[in-house]
Amino acid sequence: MEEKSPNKLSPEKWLDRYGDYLFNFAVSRVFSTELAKDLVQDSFVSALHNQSSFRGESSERTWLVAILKRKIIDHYRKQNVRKEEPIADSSSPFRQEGILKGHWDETHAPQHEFIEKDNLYDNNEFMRILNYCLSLLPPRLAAIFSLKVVEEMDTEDVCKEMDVTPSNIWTMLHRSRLKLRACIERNWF
Amino acid sequence: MKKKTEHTINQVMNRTMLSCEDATGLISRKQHEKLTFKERVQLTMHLWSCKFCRRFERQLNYLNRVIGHLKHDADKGVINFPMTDTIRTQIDEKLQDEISRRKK
Repeated sequence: MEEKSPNKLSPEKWLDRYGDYLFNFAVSRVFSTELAKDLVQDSFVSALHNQSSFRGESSERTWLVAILKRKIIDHYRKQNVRKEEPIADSSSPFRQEGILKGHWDETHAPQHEFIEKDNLYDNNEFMRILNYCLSLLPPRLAAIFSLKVVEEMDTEDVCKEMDVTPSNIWTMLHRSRLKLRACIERNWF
Repeated sequence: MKKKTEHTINQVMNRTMLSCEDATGLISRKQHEKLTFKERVQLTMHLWSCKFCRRFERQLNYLNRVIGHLKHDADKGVINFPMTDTIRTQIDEKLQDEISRRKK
């Protein structure tokens, strides 16, 4: 699987050599196989047209991943994250009125432990459900969650790319987490 | 307990104790930045008596670990989501198409 001389690219070998890696990478960032396919495809096409930008400073794979990362960011930029979130979240798991306002609504409260002992991570089914739940996040929340939590982009960069403030980010991450843990609990247990 | 007394107690509690809605907000924010001393105390007190919020925190921590695994696996090349044959074929066709188009 050695690459040829540094500046030489081998597009005809890209799919075989890097297809699985790039596809898996994309799915881990965009939570959808269909979308991942589109992004990997677009990345290959873009790479094909921009071969002159490859200087051989990095490996062929690193260069392709950089193109894919950019495609992912551009995809999320299109999600129009800047729009204001509605003030009343109709799906809030907390009571919105009465004496117990602000408390968990018992039907939506955390009921199960996601215990380490079962090593859920090794469980393909759990990973599938996690990804499914991530795919259910509204586009704006998914964008921020992917870039900040999964990709671990610097807050400053997320703010620049998505035209949001750090405060927006924390709020959106919080809402994402509330939805995620509820979805996982619903589907797993 | 007289209604008025209960109401007063609730008012006092609501003013001093965090709601679960606020507590979960702090638990979330704790993931990225240091809470103020006051916030930490309020949160600790809330967690003492709220099993749901304690569980919420444990669930969040667990989720963070798993998502971290997913990401690091992907970066390292551990394939959790392989391409289906259909997808591989679709990408292949598109790529070959583009390559041959460039040769023209």
